[in-house]
Amino acid sequence: MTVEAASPQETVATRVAGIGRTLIPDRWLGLVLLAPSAVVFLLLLIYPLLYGIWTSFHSVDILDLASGGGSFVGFDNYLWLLQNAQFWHALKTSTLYAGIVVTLQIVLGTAVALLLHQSFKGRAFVRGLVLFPYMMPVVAVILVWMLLYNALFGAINYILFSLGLISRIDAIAWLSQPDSAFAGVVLVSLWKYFPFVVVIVLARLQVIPQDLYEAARIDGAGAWSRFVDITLREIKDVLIVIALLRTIFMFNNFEVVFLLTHGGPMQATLTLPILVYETALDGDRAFGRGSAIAVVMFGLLMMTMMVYFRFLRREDRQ
Amino acid sequence: MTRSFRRSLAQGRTYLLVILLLLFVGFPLFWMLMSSGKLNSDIVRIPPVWIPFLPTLEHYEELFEVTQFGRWFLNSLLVCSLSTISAVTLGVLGAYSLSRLKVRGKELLGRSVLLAYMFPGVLLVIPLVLVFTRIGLMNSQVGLALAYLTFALPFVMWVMRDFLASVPVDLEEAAMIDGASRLEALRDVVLPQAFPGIIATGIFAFLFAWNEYLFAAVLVRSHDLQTLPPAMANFASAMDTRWGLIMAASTLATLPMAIAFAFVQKYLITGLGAGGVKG
Amino acid sequence: MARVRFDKLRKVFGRDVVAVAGLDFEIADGSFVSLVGPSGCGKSTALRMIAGLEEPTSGRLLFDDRDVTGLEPRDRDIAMVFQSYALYPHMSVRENLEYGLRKRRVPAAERDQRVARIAAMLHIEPFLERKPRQLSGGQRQRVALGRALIRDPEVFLLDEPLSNLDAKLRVHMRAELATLHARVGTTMIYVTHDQLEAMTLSDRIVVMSQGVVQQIGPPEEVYARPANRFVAEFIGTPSMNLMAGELDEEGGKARFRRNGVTVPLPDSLTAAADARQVLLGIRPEDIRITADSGEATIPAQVAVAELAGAEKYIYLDVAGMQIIARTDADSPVRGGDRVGLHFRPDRLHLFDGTSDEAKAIRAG
Repeated sequence: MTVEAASPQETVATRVAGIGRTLIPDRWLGLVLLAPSAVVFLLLLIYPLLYGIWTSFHSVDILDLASGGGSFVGFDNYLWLLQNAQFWHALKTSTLYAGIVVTLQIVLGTAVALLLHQSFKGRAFVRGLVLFPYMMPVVAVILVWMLLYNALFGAINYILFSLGLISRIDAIAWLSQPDSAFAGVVLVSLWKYFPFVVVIVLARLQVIPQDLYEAARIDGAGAWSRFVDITLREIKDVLIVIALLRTIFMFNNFEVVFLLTHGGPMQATLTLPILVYETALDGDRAFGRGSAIAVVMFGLLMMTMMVYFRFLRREDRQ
Repeated sequence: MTRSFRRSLAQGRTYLLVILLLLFVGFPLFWMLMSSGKLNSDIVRIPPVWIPFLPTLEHYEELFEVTQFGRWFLNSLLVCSLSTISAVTLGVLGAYSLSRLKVRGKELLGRSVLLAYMFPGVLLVIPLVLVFTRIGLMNSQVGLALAYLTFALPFVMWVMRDFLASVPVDLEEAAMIDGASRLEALRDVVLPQAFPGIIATGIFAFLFAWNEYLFAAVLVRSHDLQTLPPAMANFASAMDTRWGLIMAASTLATLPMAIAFAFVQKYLITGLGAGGVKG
Repeated sequence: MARVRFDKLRKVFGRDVVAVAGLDFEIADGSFVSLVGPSGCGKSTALRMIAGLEEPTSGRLLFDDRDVTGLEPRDRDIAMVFQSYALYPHMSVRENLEYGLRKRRVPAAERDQRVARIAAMLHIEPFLERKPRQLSGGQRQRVALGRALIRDPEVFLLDEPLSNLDAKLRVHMRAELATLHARVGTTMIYVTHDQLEAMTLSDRIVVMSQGVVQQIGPPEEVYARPANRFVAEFIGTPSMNLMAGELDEEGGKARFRRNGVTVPLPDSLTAAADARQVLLGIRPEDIRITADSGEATIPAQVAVAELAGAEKYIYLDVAGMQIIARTDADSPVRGGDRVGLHFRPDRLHLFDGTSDEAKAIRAG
């Protein structure tokens, strides 16, 4: 080699140093890197899942905990389930709760996303603040709202009273009456989780090409038809995905409802996750029966996911 | 004239809606902060004391004197760090494999990761209790951290897969031609590029663990080992008239999130949007 | 420095997507060879197989007599310049240059020395401490070249390195590359879709299409004697004019006929000409236009005359077919003129059939 060449000896030396053995050949590396995660999934997800299904066919109580045993009872737990009015009630409550909360979340979330898509002073700050409830510990959220809901000195009652909507004597004990407790749970769930919809929809809004609107405007479309024909059409797919995934999430949400009302009063907010908890982890400790409920919930989840994956595939094809 | 009038009308409407939004979102936050600084007598006053004239720190002092708040806080820190660090370490390697290397059935694996991430805690909690009891991980902070891996790991893998895929392949190939092995290329070139994304993903995984209640309440029962969420719920129901104290605890529990938030806000869309289907 | 030998090297993606259908040739030590062809022709895959970034499905690759087929990229002693430059964004220019040396455990003192030498050669000393994003396109290009040169590799690979530069810079860097090769003398393998780049830079050109080598040779030869229709059309701008027609004979002399137009063929082609359906090829610069349509000329009508600076492209209609001629800029020909064409007989090309693979017909 001419000008730049190192002396031959150097070249040889560096070459030898450079030829290191590859410890793991490339074709195996992919598997090796995935292996630890796969082990975690296997031990902490798949195995417990199968174990849960096994449990649902057994009678397992607190005495069986240490041994890991339990007596086989066939479909008894499922039969118990089907005959249990509480289960059907909880299924209904869960469905209602998920349906209402998801609908409200999507409506409010989309509206707020559209608002935050406008330009105004302090937009970055407002965008940040709106996400706050979502990132806040659920326990802190619940405690604040319990203070706000307080019948005697809660701010909500005071505001309603100041607006002339209720009289002072009628102060509402929000979380102690079935209807208002359900509404109270829905409101908190809406407050805590609607920012998620805002984030996703806002992200989608930002990638709608601006010239679509300009073209529509030149074609004489008004504000409303621009919204329906462009905005809504563009975000439709994202809304469908959100609706599916949020339904799964809200349907299985334990924390908000449990911490706020423990499923009460008079079972007005008894959802399936709370029934699982009460059956298996509190009081009776009937792990088999609790697992049977969980397996049914898992079945519902898989059905929804199937719809989701089918939707994704359809989208991919387009 | 009419055009500019209409525009300022629309502007006015926008600001009105923004104010309503701020009230709806901000009032509970404002109330939490204010109540934590009010005397107990002011908290129960009607009409309410909107802003305490002389804010007090007595609730914060009491929190550390009367309750074990400091300990719970440290417990939370420990458990969440443990699960986050393991999730990020394992998850980034796994995600790299999924995004770059030839692995049979990669698509199926990717889909399973999403499914795992979607998986609600309430469906896992019973078998986890049964299994953990048998192998002695009940009432253990390591056990709780492991349980958090069930959502933290799929989350990290799902989000990092997209992040890593966005690092140009050319860079790695250049490094490998320059004499790096595949893993060295990952360390020297890919990870520095993905570093901001990794940090953001880690912060999200940490926050999800920090905010989690069900596993924390069920898997760790002992007072000394408990993390913040169940401990706070317990003492709030035990002292449900001490609202100042409870609000001070809530404010402090929210603090790490508020700080972290400042760092990750610009990654929020990727962190939640791309992979975020739960939480 | 090394000789690179392809031994039936083949790459199939998935089940049946043949990217490279079997390369079987040798690149001489120290030469500058271009792989050229349209996108998807397999040239990049071929280069990536030399680099070790792509594993061949079958066949062998040899540097001198060393079989490198199964080696990792880092064990091959090659350097590569990427189309995107692939500079490490988080490292300074100096760190970018040094990275390969560090990986090969070159001592610090020698690293500094080599960086200084390369930086001086490529005129990038002022930017050594900058990050790639603070550099212009041309500067990045030099750093990318430097990072490859500094390693002093056996084989130097370049994957469309100039395609991200603007036209002016590209011409400049092309010249620099040629100088560089003359100075370092390393075997360089250059991938491009731009036949002009390939022509100006290379000792030899490998023309590829659909994973198959169409012709290998020095640029002059590939230009003057294209082996088949594909090469004839791909090399040269504007492309060679090709006219489909038939051969017949008159008075012992072969002629090309199309719609009443006849072109007499020179003796050199006559001997080999026995195919019926043929393509007659003539490059635009080998056509002379005369104002009178005399006996020996081919009648044509001018469609458009297009001035391109130093020369003029004349679009002509010959027997219902459009062909292009290249003339001096001061040619008086205008659109609508009826003219006579004269094809330089020694520059006529004849292809057997009309498919892409139609072979050139040559005298014995």
